[in-house]
Amino acid sequence: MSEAEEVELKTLCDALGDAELSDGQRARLNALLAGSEEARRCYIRHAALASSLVSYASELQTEPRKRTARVVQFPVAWRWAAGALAAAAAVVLAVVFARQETPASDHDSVAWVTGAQDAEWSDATISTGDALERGKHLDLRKGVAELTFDSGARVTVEAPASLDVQSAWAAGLRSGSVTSIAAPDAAGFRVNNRAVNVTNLGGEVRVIAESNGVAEVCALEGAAEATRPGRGETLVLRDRQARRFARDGVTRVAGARFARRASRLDRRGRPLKFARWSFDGESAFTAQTVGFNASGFTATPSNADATSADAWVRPGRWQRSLALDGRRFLAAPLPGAMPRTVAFWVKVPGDAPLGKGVAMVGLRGRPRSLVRDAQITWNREPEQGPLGALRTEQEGSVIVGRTSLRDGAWHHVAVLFLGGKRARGFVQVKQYVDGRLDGAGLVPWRSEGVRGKGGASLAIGRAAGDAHEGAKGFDGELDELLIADRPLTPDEIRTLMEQNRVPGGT
Amino acid sequence: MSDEARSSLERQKELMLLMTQHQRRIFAYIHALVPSRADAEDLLQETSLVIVEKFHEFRRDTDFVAWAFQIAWWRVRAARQKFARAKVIFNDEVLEAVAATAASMHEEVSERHEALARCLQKLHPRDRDLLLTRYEPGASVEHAAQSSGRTLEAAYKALARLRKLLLDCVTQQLSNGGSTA
Repeated sequence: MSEAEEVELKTLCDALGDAELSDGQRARLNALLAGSEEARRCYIRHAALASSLVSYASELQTEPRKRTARVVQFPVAWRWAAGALAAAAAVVLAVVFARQETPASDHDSVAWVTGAQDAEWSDATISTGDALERGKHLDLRKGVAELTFDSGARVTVEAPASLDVQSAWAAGLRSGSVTSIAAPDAAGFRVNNRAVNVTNLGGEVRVIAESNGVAEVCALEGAAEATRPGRGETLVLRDRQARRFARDGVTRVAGARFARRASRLDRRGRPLKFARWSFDGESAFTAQTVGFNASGFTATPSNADATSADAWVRPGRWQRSLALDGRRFLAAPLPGAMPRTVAFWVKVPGDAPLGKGVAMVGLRGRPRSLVRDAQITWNREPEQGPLGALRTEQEGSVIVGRTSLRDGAWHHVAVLFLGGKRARGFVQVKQYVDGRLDGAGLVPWRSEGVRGKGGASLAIGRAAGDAHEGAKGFDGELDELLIADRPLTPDEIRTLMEQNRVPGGT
Repeated sequence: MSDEARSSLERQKELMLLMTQHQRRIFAYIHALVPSRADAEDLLQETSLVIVEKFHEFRRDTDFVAWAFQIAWWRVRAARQKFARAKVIFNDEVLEAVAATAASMHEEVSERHEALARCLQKLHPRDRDLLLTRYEPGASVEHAAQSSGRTLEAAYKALARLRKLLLDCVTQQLSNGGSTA
């Protein structure tokens, strides 16, 4: 291939990638590729670049992304984490496995019900705090409800409304009124309807869909892009501009019709049972509990070299924290039959050695629990994700985030285990670091208990269970460890992080 | 749990691990043959379904990636018959040749993917945002231009420049043995 042909091929590849290839260029591309293996290798490198960019952009899209000022840590290898592409295949796998066994339950949630006012759903089991799986259909018969998607977008739904949860970045509106609010991180959130697809470019956008295939869109604040399906026409609406989309065309509508409505949303979720070790006060190893036995969760030090709690604690993120040195750890009974949230503050030294992985917190569940032999640690395997990133292991599967904890600073960590009480096949794990989604994925699930001596247990600073006796422990600090019986919503995680306040607790 | 159920679970676990390990390679292979991203993603889903359904036929002592590529190849061939003429980029002869080259390069493609992560980190945040916005699901050059405050023409030029920059950077990284320098 000559130099001129190489330049020409690259131009053709660019045109192909941008869907701008003319018939003549297509013929030329075929001619170049037919005649030269070198040209085909050059083309594959171009195509690989595009597919890698698709992959990286998809991964970033599943998480709130600051568009400036944040250095994004790109993973160096594919990992079992959130990503549109990964999620697509994960769903396929889950669906097919489910066909082979028993249908899995809510194992692929992408949104939450985070508030309601006099809401009456056609599915009476839905309530505030519930996780909503991809594909979930919702009918709101009465009242107002707020959904928060994993992208960070908030959607207020006013009854009567019928919609589908499509992904962390999209809702399908069949009829009714929804208002999406997208901070810069969540810009790109879409409301799809058969009359118009609306992308919130950052701001507040209302879409009102009628059952006869007509929809009205108003950008109450910021901007929205509206596209008529199959027409390819795109319209950008800005502050208070509104349009009506019907089969016969697009017409102007007065923005004043879309007045903001005040609602008083009740954001309280289901009652929460929890145990929390704050490592403060005289009973530093005893958990504060709500809903669990008040005296049953005192952690036991691993050795008797320091009988006084004073030797284990130091000034921490909130009052005092647990200081661990890689040798000692605490053991405690695991609170509840089915823990679903594990949250804590952690400080990992910036020079923490990369030796064998050790758990910051280890959980060993009872039979049928979603948590079996889970270890929450930081990543030491560069081929699985960034060094120092939050890492959850269960059943040989690994979820790795992208924010490094290994920097000597305090970070808030929350790990959620999602699945129905009769989950079969898979459990969804979602990781939050500093209040932001930082990795999610499915791990296999089995109903029987973990082999070995002893029952359900919790280890603070080491993996749980007798199999890990003698293993090295975590070297760093932990504070405000919370084990709760339901998954906290993103709002509740942020409240916990910012105010050190547990929903329903103090 | 019966031996049969345990064996089935082990097989599922094995499949899941293989898919998580290789699905990006499978996507890259499909995307090279079907440049439309939406079509390539649909075909990845179809391919994944077939892989799951036929996994009992896969022999552990053989190459999973090669086996998966074969399945993907037949899905691509079948899909081309349904595509409108405008969607078919390559003639049959070229498609076969490109598929063979793509299969032979899958290790290099993986290495390039990893090197790209390092190259992306070197870009100016504004350039990186433009590029990743362009490749977000459902996005277009127009969308990327609008998001970045560029004219459409400027966005096309910038994207072409950035792609060339990244291709060169990745090649350089690989020739340096993957060093981050």
